[in-house]
Amino acid sequence: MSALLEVANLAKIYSVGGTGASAGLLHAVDDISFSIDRGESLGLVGESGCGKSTVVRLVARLIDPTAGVVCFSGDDIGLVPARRFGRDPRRRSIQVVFQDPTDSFNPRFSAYDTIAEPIRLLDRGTSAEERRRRVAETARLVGLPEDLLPRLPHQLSGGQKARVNIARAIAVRPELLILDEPTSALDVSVQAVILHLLADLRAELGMSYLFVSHDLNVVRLLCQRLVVMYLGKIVETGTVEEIFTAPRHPYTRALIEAIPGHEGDSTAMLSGEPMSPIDPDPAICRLYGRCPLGHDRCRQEMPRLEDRGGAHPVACHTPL
Amino acid sequence: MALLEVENLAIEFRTRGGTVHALENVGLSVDSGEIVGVVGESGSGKSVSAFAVMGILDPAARVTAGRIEFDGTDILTAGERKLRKMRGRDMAMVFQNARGALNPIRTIGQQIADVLRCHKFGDRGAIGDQVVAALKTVRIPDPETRAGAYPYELSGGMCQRVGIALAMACQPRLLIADEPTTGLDVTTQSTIMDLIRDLVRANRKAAILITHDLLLAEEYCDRIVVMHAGHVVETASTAALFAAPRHPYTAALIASTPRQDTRLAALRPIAGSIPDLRADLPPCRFAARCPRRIERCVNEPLPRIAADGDAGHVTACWRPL
Amino acid sequence: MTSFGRHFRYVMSENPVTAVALGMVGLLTFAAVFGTVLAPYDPIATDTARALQPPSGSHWFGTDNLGRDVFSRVLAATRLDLGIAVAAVALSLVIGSVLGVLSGSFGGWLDRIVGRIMDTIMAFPLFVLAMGIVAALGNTIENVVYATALINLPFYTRVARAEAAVRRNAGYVEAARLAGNSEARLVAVHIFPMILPPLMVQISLNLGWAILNAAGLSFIGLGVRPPSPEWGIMVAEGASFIISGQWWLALMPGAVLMFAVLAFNLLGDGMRDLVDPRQRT
Repeated sequence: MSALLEVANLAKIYSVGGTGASAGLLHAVDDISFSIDRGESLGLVGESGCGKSTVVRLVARLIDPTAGVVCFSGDDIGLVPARRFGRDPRRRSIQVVFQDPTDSFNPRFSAYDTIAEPIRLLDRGTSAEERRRRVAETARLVGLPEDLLPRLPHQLSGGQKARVNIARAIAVRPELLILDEPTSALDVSVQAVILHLLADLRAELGMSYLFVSHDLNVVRLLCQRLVVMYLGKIVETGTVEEIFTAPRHPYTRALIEAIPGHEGDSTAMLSGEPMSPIDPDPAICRLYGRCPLGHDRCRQEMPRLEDRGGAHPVACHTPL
Repeated sequence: MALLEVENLAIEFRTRGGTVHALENVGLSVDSGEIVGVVGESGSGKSVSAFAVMGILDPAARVTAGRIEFDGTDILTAGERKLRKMRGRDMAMVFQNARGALNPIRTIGQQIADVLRCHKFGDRGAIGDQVVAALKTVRIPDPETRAGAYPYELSGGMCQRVGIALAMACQPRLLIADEPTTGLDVTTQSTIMDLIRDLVRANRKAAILITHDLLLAEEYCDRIVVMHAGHVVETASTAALFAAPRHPYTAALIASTPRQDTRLAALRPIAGSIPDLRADLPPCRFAARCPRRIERCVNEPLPRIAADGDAGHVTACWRPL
Repeated sequence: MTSFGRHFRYVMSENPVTAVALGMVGLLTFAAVFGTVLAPYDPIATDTARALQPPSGSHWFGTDNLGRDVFSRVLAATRLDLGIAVAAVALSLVIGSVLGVLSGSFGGWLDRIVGRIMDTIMAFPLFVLAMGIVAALGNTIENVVYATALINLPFYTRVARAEAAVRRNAGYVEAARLAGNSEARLVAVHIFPMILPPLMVQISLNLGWAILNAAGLSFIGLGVRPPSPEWGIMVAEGASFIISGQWWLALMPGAVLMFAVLAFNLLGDGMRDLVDPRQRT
């Protein structure tokens, strides 16, 4: 069975600062490849600046890649420009739940309008009656009481907004749901509710998830496999168990050690600040300089993501 | 004799929607050399408590009861002049939005120098050296050059280090850190928290860490004060709190916080939501959400019950676990 | 609509100044609509026997040099002045907001062209431009309206453009793209309505400015011509009589002009509270 989503050699490069010769090239995403099978939940972890938000937008076809292929159900959806993807029939199959519920609502749209809009636009020909039924059903699925539907965003609590956020993304029953830090802005008690909800929805609707987060403890709860990114590149991928119990990349190890309460040793710590993502040297490993290990080879040859000898893939010359 | 003693503090805000009873009967104490964590969700009143200690409450706030004593000074009755002398010198604060707390049009060196000069701290002639020394204590590399940098040139983590440098510049006895690492990467978070802990321990200072992250408090605090909807529900040493939480809310909070080994099924959400603080509230503000609620909870004022054998572990509950 | 009514009452109670300003504007609108019917005398009827009479019981604002009742003329002038201002502001609002939203949302060559045009317009002082248009196309009220609207255009365009550019990358715009909105629908449904609150404040302030400009242009003889009653003309005609002690010819229309501009300026702030949905509870 072919994968639902296949991303190959995806890159997004921005031109920054100045024009012409003085402009730098910001490598937000640099030659990454991964795939998601039907019904699978893949976690994408990394810290700020690693490119995960850009990956979200590339896969969701909100922006166009500079290079590489985004294949959905066997079709190259990168061929349709982002500007026109809104009218493509495949738009309904990939939806996104964004992080900040406050910013992602039109303040003049009621919860009902927000959930109904994708149904109206992506499922043309539904009658108003049919729409109302489907909005009610979706609200029920996410545990949103019907009497909250006429409310405006500023009349809803954080947890209620999170539910509306999810409702409008699943209103057209997408096959792939991308979750971009869906619980980061929520209190921990509300987060627990939403995480349960997301797990239940996946089981009930059979969706695949791309779950993007910086919180490893949360990602662990909902995902089967993980992809770890750093400065635009994938440094390690594997099952959740593999990554947590036997991280192979120094960055992954530092990430896990940094979780509060984790029993670990400080030799894993990274020093200094990340190198600049603008015009990075293609021959130097992105972690070089901060990495507790660091050999000559690390600044002469960019390590490639590969699995050697059966262990999960890692991009490091001297994996642990 | 505790360095900071807050007793029976009650604060309300007058808003157009009614009076918000933000804090009621809030008490905590901090000794020199210890780090006390104030843990709670949004709306629990933890930041308001910190602002009250610093004397920087919003003008709409009214302190209706209570006492705040810092190093012998009564904060609530001391005049603004006295408080201004104390802020930065005896007690200081590190804020959540690190970049927002810095003046964008002054270099970080100038800002640290401002604090030193304002409190006439140290040798006037050697301010430049003092600034570099301050940057060194927060482990900013290349401090001589960095002193001339503007906040926009620095990363979030670096800005927070500068924030800590500003707070510690005059060697205050109490440091209050209000969600100092929220919004920072987890690798940066651990280095910043390690830095705060090292600085506090090295100089026998007292610190209050305000956070919604239970695991962070567990790792860095000696004692923890748990707040819910403007009440202190439980106070205990960190070890005792996590080994045997006594208030139902504390237990529920712990149960809804994902740890490394938590399974999704074991993650328990807390029923209900924070009550509206403008409404008429029962004596226990958690009662509506509590599975152990009894008649006394909504009729009688809350008790403070110490655990057997541990006088420092106090719970405001009629049916502690 | 009742929630709007409640909100309206709340805003009015919190801002007594706005309530007063709304009353003033209401009064002016009433005068504009019913002025000609309620005027005690015919505004253009002359009666040289009664010329230059000071304010009295029968002529509240006195009479001018041709014996016309100043009060009736001021009342009748309200319609003309308000009408010119409203027409000019409406024109520049509609054209400016559309141009601004389009250039802010799409950028590119459209943005550049619109920007250059607006820069060019802003280089002209209103009076110079008005005189130019009037000289080229004729001294009519319509041309005065066009000139005022044109001068005002860059103002709305820039505000609309800035607001649209900010919202173009807002979270809910991205979410709207995911919901299947085409770029056109995005602008029309999600961006355009959101730029209205900032413009609302400007409309009221703008009306004050436009009234002053209309009066100013007719003061120097452009647009409205005697014997049509208009505040600017009346001030111009009455100016020469101040020296001889007949202050009411110029002062009365001047005072009413000031009243009108003040009313719209005060109303400007209150409008924002009313329209911004975030203020609603």
